[in-house]
Amino acid sequence: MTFPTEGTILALQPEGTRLRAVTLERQNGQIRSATIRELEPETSSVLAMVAESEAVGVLIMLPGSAMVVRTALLPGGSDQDLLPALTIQSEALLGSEHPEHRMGRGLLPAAPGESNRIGVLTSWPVQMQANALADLEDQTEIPVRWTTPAAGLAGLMGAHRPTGPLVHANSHTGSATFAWSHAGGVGFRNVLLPPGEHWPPSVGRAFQESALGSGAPDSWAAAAGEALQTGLASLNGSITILPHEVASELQEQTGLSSAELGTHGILIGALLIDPQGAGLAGLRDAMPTENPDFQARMTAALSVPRTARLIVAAAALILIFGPIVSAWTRLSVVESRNAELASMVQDADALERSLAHYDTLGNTGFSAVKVLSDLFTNLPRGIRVEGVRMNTRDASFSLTGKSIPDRSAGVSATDVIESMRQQLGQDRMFSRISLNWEEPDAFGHLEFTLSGRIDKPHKDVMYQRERDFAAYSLAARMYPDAFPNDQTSEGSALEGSAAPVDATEATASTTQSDFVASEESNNDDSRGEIEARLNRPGLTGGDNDTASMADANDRGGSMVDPNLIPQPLSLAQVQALSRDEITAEIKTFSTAYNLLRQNGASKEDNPQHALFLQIQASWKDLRSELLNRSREGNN
Amino acid sequence: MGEQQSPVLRLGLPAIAVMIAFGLWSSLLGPVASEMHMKADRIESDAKRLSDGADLAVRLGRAERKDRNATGDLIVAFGEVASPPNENEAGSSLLALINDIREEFGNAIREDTFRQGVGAMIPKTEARRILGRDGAVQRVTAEYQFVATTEDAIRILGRLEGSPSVDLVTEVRMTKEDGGRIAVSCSMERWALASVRRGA
Repeated sequence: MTFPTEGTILALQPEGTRLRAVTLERQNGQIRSATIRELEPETSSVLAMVAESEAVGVLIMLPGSAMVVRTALLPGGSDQDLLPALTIQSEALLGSEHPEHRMGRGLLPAAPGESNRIGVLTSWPVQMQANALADLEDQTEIPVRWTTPAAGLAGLMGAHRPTGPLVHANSHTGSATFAWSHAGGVGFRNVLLPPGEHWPPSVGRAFQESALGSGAPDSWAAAAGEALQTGLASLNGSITILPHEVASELQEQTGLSSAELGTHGILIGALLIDPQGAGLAGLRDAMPTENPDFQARMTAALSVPRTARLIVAAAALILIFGPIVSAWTRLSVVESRNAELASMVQDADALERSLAHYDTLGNTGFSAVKVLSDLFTNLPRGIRVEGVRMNTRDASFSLTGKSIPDRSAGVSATDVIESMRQQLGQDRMFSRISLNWEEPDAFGHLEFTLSGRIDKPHKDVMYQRERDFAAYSLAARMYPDAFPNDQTSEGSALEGSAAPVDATEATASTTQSDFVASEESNNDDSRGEIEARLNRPGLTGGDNDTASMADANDRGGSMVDPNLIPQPLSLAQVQALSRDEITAEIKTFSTAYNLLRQNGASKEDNPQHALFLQIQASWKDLRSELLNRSREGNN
Repeated sequence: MGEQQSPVLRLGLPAIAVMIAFGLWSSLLGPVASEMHMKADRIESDAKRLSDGADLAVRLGRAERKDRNATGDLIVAFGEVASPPNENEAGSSLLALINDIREEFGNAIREDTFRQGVGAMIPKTEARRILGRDGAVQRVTAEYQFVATTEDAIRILGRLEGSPSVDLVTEVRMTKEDGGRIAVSCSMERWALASVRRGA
């Protein structure tokens, strides 16, 4: 970061417990005005001053005790030509142990008539640390430079060759810096003497020795030494002593008084000799480092052949293996997120195929056993079946048999047939029923042929008890005294179109056909099996016919023995059952459901209505769970 | 001067090398990446299908609760079904079922006969749904005739229809016989993978 030549510069010099500050407004590298301040020797106060004065650069004056100064006599020439020569001489005069950033080089402007040029070399040894304001550079964006009292004196002297010396002295540190002109040019010296009461005469003698060493007349050296001793006798702190001609010109230039120049003039001098802050006023505490931006750093890194080759190799590897790594990563993520997917897909496919299988079965045919069961259920007493044919493809059926009249009850054979036809058409399960019968035989039996279509083979008809020979067996109807627990009230038993026939049927010979109703116990068992398989509530007749037990206390509001009713199951309990257990429970709950319903528990005023609802809910849960298991293919 | 390569060589050789490298990559490594991407696509597709299927199942479940003649009733009515075996296995399983029934009922079954044949094909669209892929499904038909008591006859019919070896009982004929027995003729069919496509 270069030091600005325009704008306000804040120049600082530690002085005891205070900090001398001068804000210098510059134009074209020249000081236009100066303002004096006093600050606390703290970084924060300096930063506040920087902000307040809108300074664009900071120059800090090192103490004389922290510097080395040398002069070099150069031949006449331009600064551009002489500075390289001065650089070479600096190694000889200052030594090579000084780092470049802590060395300052500059040329005094040539005085009129002067043939040689005076080079000034200053150094800030590395062992001399900038105790005060050392951290300022880290806390501000503006450039910070350091300079020495010798540079300040060189700037104040400029092209002047005054008869008196320029002196910057500090009574606290004991340092004193001299600049004086003599016949051979200009001399600079910096001395560090013990402070105290002997310090002023010591400084005077030191100057006298220096002047004599440079070839100055003895009388002049002695007078100047004494004058210096006198001037420093009452000094408490630091001061810059300037010859009159130098001070007067500087007063005009900066507007500062003579006293102000004595205290702050040294700071102004440093900027006069090195407005760019690159020479005598361009010392730095630490070696400057470049801080390039990211693009510059990347460009520099890529400019290294080895780095460039590595990057090209890496790019090639990425191009070659990148797609595979990317695909593998994606696949791994997808697989980890769907670890069980393969088996689930397999199960889902199997389920879909099974459902399609059932759909096709449903569209193609139906369960013959279930429809046979429905068909026989709709045959009233008095019908003797001789033959049955059922085709599930064209959904047709035919029935041949005999209709047997009940003369004692006044029921003719045709009445029985009509009753059968009505029952078959009652639930809209069968349709297009046609009947043919011939002349009755000698006993009045009428041979008939019945045919029709099966419209709703999957319909789950909830048969009334009087039509359901599983719930109310033929034996119980024929021999009520032998089945006292299987009776029903007269009023409720005589329902439906079969009522006249059922109510008047009395003879054993007019029972259902041999393989339908006359073998009532066998028939009950068969129906129980069929209906249990079809999961029809209410038709799962057990060995003792649960429906008959339900009738023990008459129907329509009677109480069912609680021992016959299973405990309702919660959904969680249902889900915990195996598939076989669910199937078994469905049968149990179907029986209980029908038992309760037949005893009027479905009515709200029935005391067992709540239990009925619970059983109904459990039955529905069981059935839904079985359906879900079937879909999922689980057990 | 002899070391100065012509532009053709200077630019052409690297171009050829790049083309060869790309060819090797596209034939060796490219397919590996493509295959992994395809597998990932398939998994994502399956996951989406399962998710959609689950939604559908929920909707179907709600619908079936309102419709008594839905799939649930079919499942209860037809019992367990099995995916179609090949024709030989279908025939063998039918015969094995009959043998099991004969063994179980013993002398309760009289005058029984068993015939087996091949019926029509299941329509292609339904066959594809049943199989989950393209394929032909053949009806393997059978007819079992026997004489038994009413009770046994009903049980035997239940065994036949409830068995996974029988998909559908197509016809039942029952005729009263003497001695409280009935003669039963039961036609059934099992759906099987067609060994040879008809018309092919």
